[in-house]
Amino acid sequence: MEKNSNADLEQLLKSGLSDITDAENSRDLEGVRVQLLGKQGSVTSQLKVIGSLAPEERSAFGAAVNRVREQLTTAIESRSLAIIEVERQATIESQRIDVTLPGRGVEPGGLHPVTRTLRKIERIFLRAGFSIAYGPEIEDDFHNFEALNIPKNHPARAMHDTFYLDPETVLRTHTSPVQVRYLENNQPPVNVIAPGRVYRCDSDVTHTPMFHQLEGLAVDTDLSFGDLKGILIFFLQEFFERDLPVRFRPSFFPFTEPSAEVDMGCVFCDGAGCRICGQSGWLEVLGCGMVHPQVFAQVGIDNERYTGYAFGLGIERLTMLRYGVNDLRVFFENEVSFLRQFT
Amino acid sequence: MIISENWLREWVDFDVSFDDLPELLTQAGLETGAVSIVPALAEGIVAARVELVTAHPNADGLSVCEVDGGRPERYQIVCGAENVRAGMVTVLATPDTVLVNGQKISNQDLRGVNSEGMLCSGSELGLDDQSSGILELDPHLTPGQKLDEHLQLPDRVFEVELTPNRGDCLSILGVARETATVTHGTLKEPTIKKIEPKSKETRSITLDKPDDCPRYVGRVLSGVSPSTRSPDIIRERLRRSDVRSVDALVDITNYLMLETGQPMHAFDNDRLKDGIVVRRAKPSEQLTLLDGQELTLNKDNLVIADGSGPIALGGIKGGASTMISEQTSSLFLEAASFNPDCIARTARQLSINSDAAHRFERGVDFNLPALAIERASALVIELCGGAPGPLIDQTIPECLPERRSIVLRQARLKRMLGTTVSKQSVDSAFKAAHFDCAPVTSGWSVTPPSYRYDLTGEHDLVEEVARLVGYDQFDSHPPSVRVGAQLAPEGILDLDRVKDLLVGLGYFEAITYSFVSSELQELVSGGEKGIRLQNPIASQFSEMRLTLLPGLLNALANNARRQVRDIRLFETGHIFQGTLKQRKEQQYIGGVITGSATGTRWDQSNREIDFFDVKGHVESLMTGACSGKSLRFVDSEHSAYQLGQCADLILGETKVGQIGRISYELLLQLDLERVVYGFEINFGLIREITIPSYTASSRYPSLSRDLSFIFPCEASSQTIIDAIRQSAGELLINLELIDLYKENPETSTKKSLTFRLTLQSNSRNLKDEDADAVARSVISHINAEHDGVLRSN
Repeated sequence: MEKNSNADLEQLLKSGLSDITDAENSRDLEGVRVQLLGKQGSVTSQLKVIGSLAPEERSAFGAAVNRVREQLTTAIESRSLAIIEVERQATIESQRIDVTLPGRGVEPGGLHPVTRTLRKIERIFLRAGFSIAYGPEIEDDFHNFEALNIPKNHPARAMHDTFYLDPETVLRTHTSPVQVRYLENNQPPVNVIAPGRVYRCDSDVTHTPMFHQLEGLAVDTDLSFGDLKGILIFFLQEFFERDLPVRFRPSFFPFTEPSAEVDMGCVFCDGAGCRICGQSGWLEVLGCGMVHPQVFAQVGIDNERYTGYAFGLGIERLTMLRYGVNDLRVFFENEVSFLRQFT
Repeated sequence: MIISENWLREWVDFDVSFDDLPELLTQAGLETGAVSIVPALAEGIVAARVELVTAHPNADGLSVCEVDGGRPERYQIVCGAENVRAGMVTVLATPDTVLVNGQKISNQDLRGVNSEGMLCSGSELGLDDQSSGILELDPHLTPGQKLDEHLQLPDRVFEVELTPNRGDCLSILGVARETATVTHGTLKEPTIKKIEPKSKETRSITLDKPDDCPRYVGRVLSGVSPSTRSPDIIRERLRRSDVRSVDALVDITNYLMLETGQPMHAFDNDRLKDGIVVRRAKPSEQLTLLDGQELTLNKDNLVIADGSGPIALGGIKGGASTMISEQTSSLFLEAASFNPDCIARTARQLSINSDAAHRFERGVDFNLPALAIERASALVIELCGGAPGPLIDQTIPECLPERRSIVLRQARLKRMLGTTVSKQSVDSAFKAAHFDCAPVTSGWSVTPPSYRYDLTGEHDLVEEVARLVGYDQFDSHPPSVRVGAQLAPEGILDLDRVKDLLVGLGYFEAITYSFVSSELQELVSGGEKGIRLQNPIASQFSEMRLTLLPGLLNALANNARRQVRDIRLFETGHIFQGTLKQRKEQQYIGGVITGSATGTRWDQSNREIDFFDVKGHVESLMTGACSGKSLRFVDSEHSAYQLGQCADLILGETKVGQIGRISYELLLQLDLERVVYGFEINFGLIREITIPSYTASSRYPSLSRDLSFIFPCEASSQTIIDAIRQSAGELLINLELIDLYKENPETSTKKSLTFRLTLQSNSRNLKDEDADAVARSVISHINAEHDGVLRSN
């Protein structure tokens, strides 16, 4: 191989740089690199020449060739970065997708609104120190009626349209028997709520033969009607997340005395009067009272030492008020179109 | 109980607006509805006498009437009412009158005959919801007379809904008394005149069961005509109370019951044989009631009897044999006091409801009967004529309800209410309630009045004070947090967590009735019968569910009928197995699923759900419950599921549930066309869970080996997996089935299974030789024991 003249070297550098600039992709650039700097490359071959030169020529020529090589190497590197960037942009562009296409996850189901309401209620009472108790749905006459001061033939029995399995066994008509069962097995102080299914032999636009109640019971040495008022006002305001007016009216339940119905300000009209509250501005939401001495007597609790309060509320009723459901029957038709609204 | 203002005001003076009264009564425990108005009659409405009725010449069903409406010339009125007749006094709306419904009366031609106004019915006047025919009025009215005063218009009414403890308010008198109490008004108990006997006619009364009936008061009235028409004032008041007017005698007894609360009865005196005996029925004694109902009585039932046997069911309903008829000329009028329990027992036992029973079983003032008889007698004499005999009052005083004094301790009152009620407030409450009250050292001693059956203990007086002072007067104490309530222990599976997991898997929670159709249940449970309801609401809800499937399948079918294609439902709730006497009520979780496995996707074809999707769901929800125990699915048979696609869930050693493809019979029964899968798990059997206990994870790398074997088609994967686990030893930390292959899915008798074994040691780096050793051990065991041949490829 002949040694190039300085002019040839300059020419080599110039054409090399031009080839590098012209290379449009990594492959072309690699071609250019091989042609210049590869084993057989034009610059490499000049490097090989250096060894064969006279010592006095070596230094100057070597420096010149190396400068050319370095310049070309630098140019290739920078061109390479530019090309990679361009190619990456192209790849990114080619990977563009329609991000608005539907995702591939499983569409989740949902809880029944009754469960949703119940969970909310339970959380509120758990926070106030209540625990949760359960009882059977097939009940005996004693727990469902007798122990709750509803003897046979009592007119209050007519208020319960009872499903009978035999003359002494019923589907519980309320969650109140859990009060009795709990007191049979636990000593005061007692703070307990008991949610569950209850049954009444009645079916029309506003009644279903099965629905849900939640019973509350507290027994301690000094509980008063004031404590009952306090816990229920707390509960209703927490549940509806509003500073609602709440009023207590005298009523009658055989197992509490004094007994009260609790009304709260209508959540639909803020008490102004509307169709849902029958223009009264009030909605009846639950029943309550101080535990009747007869109930204490049935479970052997000293009526002088302990006092207690109890309350019962309808889960469907609260669900309807909370979510604006206006038909009780839809709760048990279990249509997905209904259930989906509470996910 | 509907209360008319005009009637109420005859009994009580009060100084608050009538419109405010419902609220005051409600706050005192008598739930009272809003006031509604019975309007005054419009200008132009007058009394009129029909003088002549002729048929309309051009229309069937219409009459042309000549009517005296107070002006010199008669009105000519076309009338369509069937009850129009000459001589009757009725209501005329003259031209230009505007009726309550907005209708304007005018002179108009009706089929060629001019009509100068309209004869009106009760509903056209706003007195009645519906009425047949025009309103007939007292015959003594003067034509042209305005009617407002005569008909006691305008009036206002409200309805009181009474709780069972307040039977004393089932009358105008009772509500008047309560009104006086809450308004601090004055009760106007009318002085009831004693009727002087005009005849000696009497009848003996024997109280054979004084505990059931301690008082029985009667009187004979002879020479009466009972079926005359009662006067408008009585008819109007009955109408406003929603009671139908019948004839004078029936109206009088109803009227007095509404007014005083005392039920009464009138016998045809001439049909009575010998004296009256109030006694228990003899076994199998027969009685036919007024309405024709025939009863066979027993010794629990109290009857009014005469020499011929039972003539009335005491306190409930009269008998047919002695009832008043048009021929009756002599009455025996009675009013009695009955033991509430005795009446309630019979009314329940025989399923008879009556206004009388409704009152007696709640307790009727035992001092009322004589007063009621005197007042009724006076009305009978006024309206039906007749000569009264002497009042017969048979009372066993020691058997009348006791009214013992009750002590209310002031300290107890404070303790129960949480607020101190001043002595003056309590005094004033008891005074307003007309209680006989005396101070004692600890508080008050109160003797309840004869009309209150609900005051028997101190707690009753606490309530009485509370309701009269007003519940809003007592402080409310905000809850203080009570520590010590038990939270659910961590070792118990939280049902809410299971529910959330199923929701995450796309299931909606259903709540279905606990009673199901016995037909469907039989199909689901292979002929097994559930506990039956004695009084189901409908035949499709006749027995308690044995499993959750009938309800869930019905809910699924209900959705399928509404063209929902992909349905996943679950329910948690009690099921009821065994017999009524030896029943097991258990908490179950169940699910049903149909439709697509993945949901519709834009880049994949839709795949129907199959057994293994559902099995995956069940495995997911069991992960929380399985800790430490093995969960296995074992081939099984069950009537709800298709043979060959049904498995029992075995947790440890216990069967905890079932899963499978719903049988063709059930799909057919429910009109379901697509494949449905279901599962059920006994929650009680999976509730106990292990609390996590930490072990450090290995820091050494893991190795894996894939092994493919050829097995006969019928080999169970579970058995092979168990065998691999057993033969691989303790280095095996994970075993996965990564491929199942059959050359021809239909005809091949062999299948190839590929397993991936992941190995790891806690103490050293594993080498290839370790993995090879494990593989050799597995291969030779599978070869020898399970007919599996390593696939060479």
